[in-house]
Amino acid sequence: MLRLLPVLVIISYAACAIPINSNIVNKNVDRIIDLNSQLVKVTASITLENTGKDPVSNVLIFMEPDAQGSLAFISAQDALKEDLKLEPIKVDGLKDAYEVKLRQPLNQGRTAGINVEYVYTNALQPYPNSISQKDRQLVRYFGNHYFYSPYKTVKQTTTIMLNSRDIENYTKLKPVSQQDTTITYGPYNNIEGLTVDQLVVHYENNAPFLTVTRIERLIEISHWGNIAVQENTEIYHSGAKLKGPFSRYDYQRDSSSSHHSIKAYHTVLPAAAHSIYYRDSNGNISTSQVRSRKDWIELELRPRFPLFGGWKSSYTLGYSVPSYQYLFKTNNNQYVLKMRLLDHVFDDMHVNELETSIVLPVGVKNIQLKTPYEVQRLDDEITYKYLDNLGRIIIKLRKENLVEQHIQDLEITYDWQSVLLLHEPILLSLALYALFVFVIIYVRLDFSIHKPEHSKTQ
Amino acid sequence: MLTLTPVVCMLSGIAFSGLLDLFFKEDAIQRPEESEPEESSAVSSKLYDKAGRVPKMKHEQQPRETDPIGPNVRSIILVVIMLLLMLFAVHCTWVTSNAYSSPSVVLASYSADGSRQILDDFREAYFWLSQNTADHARVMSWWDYGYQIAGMANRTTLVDNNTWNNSHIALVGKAMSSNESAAYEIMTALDVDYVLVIFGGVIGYSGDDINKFLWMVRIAEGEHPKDIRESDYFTENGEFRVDSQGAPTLLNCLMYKLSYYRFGELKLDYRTAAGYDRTRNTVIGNKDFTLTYLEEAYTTEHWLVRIYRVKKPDEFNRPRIPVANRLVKSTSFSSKKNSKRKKGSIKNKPVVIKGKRLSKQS
Repeated sequence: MLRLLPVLVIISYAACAIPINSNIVNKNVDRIIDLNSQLVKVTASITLENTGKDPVSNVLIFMEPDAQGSLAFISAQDALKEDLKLEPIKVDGLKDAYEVKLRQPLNQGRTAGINVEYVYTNALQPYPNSISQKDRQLVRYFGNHYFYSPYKTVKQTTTIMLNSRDIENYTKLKPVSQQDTTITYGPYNNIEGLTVDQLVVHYENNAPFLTVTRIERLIEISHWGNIAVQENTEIYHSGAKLKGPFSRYDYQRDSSSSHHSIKAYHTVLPAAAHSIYYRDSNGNISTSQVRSRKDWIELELRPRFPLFGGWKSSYTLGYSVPSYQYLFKTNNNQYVLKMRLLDHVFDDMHVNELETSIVLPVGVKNIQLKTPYEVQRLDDEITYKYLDNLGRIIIKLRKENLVEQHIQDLEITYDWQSVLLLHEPILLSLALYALFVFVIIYVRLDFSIHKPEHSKTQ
Repeated sequence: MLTLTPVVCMLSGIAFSGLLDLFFKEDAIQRPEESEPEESSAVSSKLYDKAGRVPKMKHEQQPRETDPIGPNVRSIILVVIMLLLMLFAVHCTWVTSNAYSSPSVVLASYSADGSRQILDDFREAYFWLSQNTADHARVMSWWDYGYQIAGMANRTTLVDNNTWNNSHIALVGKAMSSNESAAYEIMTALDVDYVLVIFGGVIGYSGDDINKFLWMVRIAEGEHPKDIRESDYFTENGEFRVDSQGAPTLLNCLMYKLSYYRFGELKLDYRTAAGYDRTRNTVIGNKDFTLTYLEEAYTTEHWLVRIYRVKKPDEFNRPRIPVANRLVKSTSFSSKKNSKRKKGSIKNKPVVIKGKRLSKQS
């Protein structure tokens, strides 16, 4: 049996670029680490106290320098559940550090509560990293027994939530207790700032470890009343790799619901979606189910084959939505498109790379883009559709490492003349008109060299 | 049927045209100057040699003037004909979607309640190949599936539908009809990474590789008469059967093993025995065998397509590494077996000593 002895490491950062206000004290920290899915979701409720004399308006939030995986999302709220402004700052030796602006300055001797929520991706490591078909998937989580903060923490507890009772091993820094699927660490008292003490949980996790390696989302606006959405998705089972053969016989016999392979998953589409298609390079994938719920459409997608660790698949999902739900006219010729930059793929999803392209109608001007979070804007492109001579502008946005919290609306404002709607019909009529005129003239002209004797044959 | 269709279409076209001729002439009959076209037709009848075309007498034309078919009947019949033609368009669409464009890679069947069931195993397997094998993996299969693998799975095949070199096909046939170790030699020589076979025994698909197998044997025999003999694959009575009466060469050849690997354990339903082949309606003869040189890589939902990975030499025939070169060194272990103690012994076997308390391990 593997016995992991806790190793106490205290790292002090003398060379911090930002001065740490030692007057701030974390009076109480309750941390909940949710390890139910493939993501690590941490919610920390912090009660801050200002022991100094000067009022404090900024609080620093640090992430462990050697944290596994990568930070995908972070948000901070005050006690009234209102979002606080988070600003990334650069601190030597730290990957992620943020500065929270408090709504009101914290005066001497006063306390304030803030909730910090953050999500780490790729933080759970399958161990062993390759398993055979009938093995269970075990993963390891590496964390910190203490809340990592630049300030001194007076009292703290950490709750770890797992999705199974099968815990192989976990570090036992007293006081610690395990009840069913939760492990509670603490309370620990008077921990100095920036203290790291490795916490390891090795447990069974058969939640789908499905990573969207790349998703290309294409939104096409038509002012005739339709918005077409198409998503080219590449998925990859990022859990423990399948070792040895895949046996269909064993797979058919194993009827247990908790298996590390992924048979199907659910995608949520907008309620107004219609003309849905689900296909790949070999044509229509006949194994999908559409169910209409009250406020959304649920799509059960079954890849052509069950996904085992290390296997990948890809597909194209497309649908249309009426434009009146997403496209609004603000004033005379100005329109606003409000659509999701990223939409739901499956629960607890992790998207490695997103590329959203928005195809605007012909002849738009004065494009303004408002994104809910920072994204990389690629160079605009121009595409030509049917009967298109002017071309349509494509706005391309790219972002890496996204999770469910990134499903937010993006806003594009542009000017557009509604006369341009008639651009294509007029173009078509002109072309036909020209053709007919040509035919009329051609028929009337006589190009024959030899004049026939009878103008009429009969 | 396909050759008859144009004929049927032409004939029905003529029939409809004749029918419409009869019922569309309403105006022409009622017009007073009806005799004029009649005259011109008389002229033309003089030009062309048409038998029995004599200008009609006045008394003969008389009954036609009265028009035995009333205008109502004409319009009703016209409507019916139009409806028929429209229905025919619908029917044509249905036929096209069902009979003509129903691709043989998707097997559709209708259950008792009318719902359609789709067996999409071919595309499932080919998509698996395209996604989860190395880009340059080579797939060995019978030539029938060559184009499908190239087109849908985007993988290299050894032989395909346009292979004119018979010895190539014969070599694949030989690999399929030899036993596993002989086949492995051919497969390593050909750099094969995966082997794909079609097996219809679970769903009763008759066009599978076992039913095509005699052709593989025959073609292989044509090129390698010393190694493969067709008669070896028949029973003494000259039957080709896969049950326990079958020829031992057949029951041990690569194609048999790849098709029936672990099928002997599968019970299709409660009435039939395990390993019951629905295509050939027998219980297979060789149920319990393992594969040495190959491993199952993927089998589709209805077992229609089975893909095996050819193991690399170090995976099944691991050479002995000298103790000095081993990365993982085992603790010194000497066998306690000698000529007296043939039975196995448990290392560190706990011994219970009566009257003493076991000291707690710290």
